[in-house]
Amino acid sequence: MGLVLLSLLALSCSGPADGPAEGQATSEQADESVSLTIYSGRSESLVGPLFEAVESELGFELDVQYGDTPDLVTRMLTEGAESPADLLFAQDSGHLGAVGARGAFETLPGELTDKVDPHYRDPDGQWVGTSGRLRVLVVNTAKVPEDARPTSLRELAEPAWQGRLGWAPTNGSLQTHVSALRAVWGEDDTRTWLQGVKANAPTAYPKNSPQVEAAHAGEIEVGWVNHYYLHRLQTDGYQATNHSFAAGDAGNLLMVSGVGLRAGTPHREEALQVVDWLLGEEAQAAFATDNFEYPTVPGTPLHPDVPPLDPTTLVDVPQSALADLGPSRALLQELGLL
Amino acid sequence: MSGAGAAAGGVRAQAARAGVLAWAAGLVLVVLIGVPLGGLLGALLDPPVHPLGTPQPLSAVLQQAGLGSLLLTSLALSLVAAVGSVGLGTAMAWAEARWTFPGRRALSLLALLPLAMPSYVLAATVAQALGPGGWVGAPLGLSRPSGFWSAALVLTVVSAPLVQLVVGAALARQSAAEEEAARSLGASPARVFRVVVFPRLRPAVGLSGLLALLYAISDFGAVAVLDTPVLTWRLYQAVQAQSLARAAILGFALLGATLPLFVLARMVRGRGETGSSANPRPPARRRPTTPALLGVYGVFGLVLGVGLALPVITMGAWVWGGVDRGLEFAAPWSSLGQTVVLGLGAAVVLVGLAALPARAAQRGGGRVADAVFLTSALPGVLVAFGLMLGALQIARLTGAGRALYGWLLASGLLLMAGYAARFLAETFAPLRTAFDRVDPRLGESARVLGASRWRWWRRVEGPLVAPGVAAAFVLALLAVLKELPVTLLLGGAMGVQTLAFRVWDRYREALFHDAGLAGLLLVGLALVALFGTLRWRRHV
Repeated sequence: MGLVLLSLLALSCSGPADGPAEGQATSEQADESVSLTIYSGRSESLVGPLFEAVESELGFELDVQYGDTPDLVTRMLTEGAESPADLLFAQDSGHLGAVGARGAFETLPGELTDKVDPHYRDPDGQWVGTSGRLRVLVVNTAKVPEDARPTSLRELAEPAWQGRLGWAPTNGSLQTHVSALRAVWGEDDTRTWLQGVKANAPTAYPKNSPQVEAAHAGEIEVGWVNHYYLHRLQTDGYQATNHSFAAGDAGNLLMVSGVGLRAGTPHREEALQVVDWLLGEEAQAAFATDNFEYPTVPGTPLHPDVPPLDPTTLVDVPQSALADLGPSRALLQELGLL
Repeated sequence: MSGAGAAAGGVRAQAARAGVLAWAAGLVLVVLIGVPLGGLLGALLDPPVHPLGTPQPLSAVLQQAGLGSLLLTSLALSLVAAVGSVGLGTAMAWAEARWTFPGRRALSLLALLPLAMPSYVLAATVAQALGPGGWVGAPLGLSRPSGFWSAALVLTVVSAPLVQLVVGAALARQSAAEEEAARSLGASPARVFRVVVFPRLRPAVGLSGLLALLYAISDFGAVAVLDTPVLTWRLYQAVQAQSLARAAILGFALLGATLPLFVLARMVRGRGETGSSANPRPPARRRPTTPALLGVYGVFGLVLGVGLALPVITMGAWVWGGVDRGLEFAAPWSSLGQTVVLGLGAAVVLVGLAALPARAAQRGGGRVADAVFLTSALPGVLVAFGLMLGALQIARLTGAGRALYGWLLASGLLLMAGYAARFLAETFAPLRTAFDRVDPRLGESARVLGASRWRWWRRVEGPLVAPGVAAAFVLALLAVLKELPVTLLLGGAMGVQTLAFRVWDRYREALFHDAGLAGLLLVGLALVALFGTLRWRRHV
């Protein structure tokens, strides 16, 4: 530990007297190969191979640091100007919106954001969606025949679903979905609905993924999850399937993963190249075919197992509403779910 | 004359060394505990970032509905887990050291393996196996385990091996001569245990019980998976909601609530008697009575069944499912290599650091040394953020800002500090009980008789403390192997992706086959570590 103190002293003496320059310090490392730091809330198993391709194709070194999206947002905002992060790659648009609303992102150039369907990006260009996951119910096919499946998310609060449900209230996707419900249904309806679901004694899971296996195994009849886990687990004779609600229902939410540039990053140009690459053909195809997700750049083909998405069936909610996470958490906490 | 003078000089020199040691230990503790706690305190006084949504006055955090009951549940859960693991762990250690029965060696070794299991992995696999769709739950018609007692069981099983290891190391140094002397003087077996055996075990039992308690109270994994609302839930939500100030308040509340438990553990530990025989001869093993034997098999069965068989078979089924469906497995070798290198390096650092307070405690600085337990009550995520905040404050103060902060992360110093803040206590416990066994008067005698320091260490002190050092090394290694939140937040800059990282990364994406493979490798690694140190841990 003495070593640490010595090193601290050494560094503090040799450090630049005027402190690090804010913002455009691009010349700092002009001669050396550029190393970008990415905070990724998306799993290494999903995006690791993509970032390896970025490294070989764009010639940057990438230092990708993985974690849960909310933790990484807390980290980046806490670090402020000292943050090593150049890019934030978040699991859900709720967190991207929240960071954008604080002015902690740089505005992205229009020619970049224009590549993406307007539904799946920030209207002010603070972040851009790279792929989407549909919120669905995963249902046990034997226990819940097709005609017994709910047409609206609201039905899950009815007593008929007592003891049959699964959900993951600590999960970021669910919390973002609650934000959408608050925007569409209003505070009171959302609270009443959550109380109703809670009264049905759903099994609480720490994550979405185990719910799909649980639905297949009959541990639960219905789970509230994202669509893509099923495609990964599905085998012949699999006892679970995805179910979406009637067109326009608040249950039909597309959750967008996306990326934003940390305000003050010294590597703006290079970071923009990475964003551009993520919106390119290769990356978009990888999101679709390797991860079973919905690409955000129009014209990218889907995985054959993934049903096409008709945007008119989705709930009509602005992405900005999803960023209002604080009150959603407070509501879940108030109801004893967090 | 000259002999007495030399002895007095030796005592003075030793006192001076003890002084230096106490200072060094103090400095280590101040840095390791002060930086994260200081960082959190700073966050309290001047929140570095305001939470998303409506900011809440900090006083309201403590008055929030349900906080009291969450805290009580936390305390109750950790007390149950501590008592449970002390009971199971001591029974296993005793049976291993004192009895002879079929399967003794294998069972004792395998029972340590749950130590390598991250609590969320253990909880998730146990919940799946025992649930209605699981390979145990389905035929038996069980409902999915959740709630207080499930979490207590998992946390007990995960800590029982820790008690087994620490108490086992203490038992390995027991001397048969004392017990035989007591018996020859007519003492009953019960009295021999109470007067001779137990006083020697007390420190190990008290320290390991405290460790089990701190592990349980700071755990987030098992309680999250098993849906048991405790205080760490609230704390973790505060971290996720960008409210480090609220998280810090809750952390300090947790810390405050554990302080009375420190006193309790101190009472169990007693004064920690040092003493005697340089070359203890272990008591002869006995054959247990049939009821005792059944009891022992029951204890091993519970720990091995819940802590090893359920998770290993479940993860094995995940891997088999992947093979069966022809899924692609991502090559785990770089993760495996990184885990080995990081684990070994961190274990060496931890043992080196923990030796300072353990030495200081041996020479009378017990109260100072107990401070190593302080940060163990804090969840890993809070320790990591505390260190991060502390480092940021230091970096900003020195004016070197981003460069210094980046260097602290990239050099691994913060990562090591994080491991130390989390695991110094469990590395310290076996070292402390080991050094307790070395009577400083023995050293004086040896020096008066002209033995060199090296000779003294090699012939007397080394063999006495070897089991404790080996136990400390293994505990530190296994703790680092399974650690996640500190590794994620402070190791990311070094590109660290351990096997524990891999299990988490794959599990949350429903890539169970890959998660299972990484989990099984983790167990395999632990087996190698435990087997490799077996000779040392048994060293007498």
